[in-house]
Amino acid sequence: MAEVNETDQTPNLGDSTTPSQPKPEQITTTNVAVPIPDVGPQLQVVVDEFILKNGSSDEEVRTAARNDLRDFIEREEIGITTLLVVVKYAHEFKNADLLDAFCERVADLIKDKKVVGVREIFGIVNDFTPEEEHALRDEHPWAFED
Amino acid sequence: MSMSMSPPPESNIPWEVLTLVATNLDPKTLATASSVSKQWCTTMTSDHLWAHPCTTHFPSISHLHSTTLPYHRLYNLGFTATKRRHLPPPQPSITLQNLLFIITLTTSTSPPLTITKPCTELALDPNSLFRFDIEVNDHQKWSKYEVLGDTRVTWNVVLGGYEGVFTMMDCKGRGSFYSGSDGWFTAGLPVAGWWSGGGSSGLVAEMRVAVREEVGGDGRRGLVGSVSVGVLSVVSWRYVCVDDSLRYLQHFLEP
Repeated sequence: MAEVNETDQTPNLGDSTTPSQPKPEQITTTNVAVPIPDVGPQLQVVVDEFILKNGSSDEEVRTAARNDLRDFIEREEIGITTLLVVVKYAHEFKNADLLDAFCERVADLIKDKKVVGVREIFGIVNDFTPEEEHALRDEHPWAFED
Repeated sequence: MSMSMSPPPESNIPWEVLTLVATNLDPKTLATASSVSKQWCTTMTSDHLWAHPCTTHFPSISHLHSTTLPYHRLYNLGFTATKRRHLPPPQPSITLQNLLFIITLTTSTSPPLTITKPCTELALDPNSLFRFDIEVNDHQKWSKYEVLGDTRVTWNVVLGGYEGVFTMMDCKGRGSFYSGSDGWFTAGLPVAGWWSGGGSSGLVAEMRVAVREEVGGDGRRGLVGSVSVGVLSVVSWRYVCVDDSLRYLQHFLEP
């Protein structure tokens, strides 16, 4: 996380490139296969392969595995439902690296989007009144400046 | 089952899953995401998501945290406050086009001599500093005006059609002018606007009257060669820029 000097420069706080949470040092990771119901066999194969390679002691192999998984998800444009299902099961099976990869992808789909765009992707109906929504925007006006 | 792109009904997204994803989001995204829906609002404004960015970026106000002041609110306060500290001053509400300089020289031996010059007729300093050279060669009376030790100079600045006037200086010279040397006049400018404590504004008005010597029948005389005026900061010993000077003057000139 970049250091911020409050007195000297205008901090670059309005960008969406830095996640808000630090990566935890100690992750409880089990590297067992994570069977995921309701996803296609193709994705299950890719996930299994990732888990296998992620267990390697060679850092290069692990990095390659992560990149392969990321590329696959992007290339096949895996839908939101599937992504969230994997997130759920990765969490249940405590596979932090798998969880990370899929959370990152979902996060990328949300970042830099307008509120309306996010609702579309997730199929969410807006349950705020216009006044409520306006009041919410006023709580963080800097986030809505273009 | 195919991997479809169609969005799921909302009931299929358990909030725990949303929280997991939210830990990957930056403050700006968290803030916009909080207006997606009521459930998202609860998730995205949660203290545990905002604690880290808030305490990292705004440690000095994070200790104000309480149940009524959650971290996402404190973050907003910190962000807005920091941005305000770096805001440049607003544009001046008057321009040089609106201003007129009136310079008067008075000595015990002659009636007052006045030059009135709209700022539009003055050459701008190349560095946008508030200093101006006023040519007097084209004014017959001026170039024959003899400066003496007790010459009094006045510099007034007028806004538009005499809507306001501000006296920059009203000074008397001390001693005598020697030929070839210039007369320098300075006057401290009053504090403007926000400060009630009195004392110095840190600004002075400055005038230079360049003298040239003329040797005639009745001996040597010092005559006005040229006049320069400007506003100087006594903190930096530099001329103040035009915009800052306009912002200063508007306090005194605007009706």
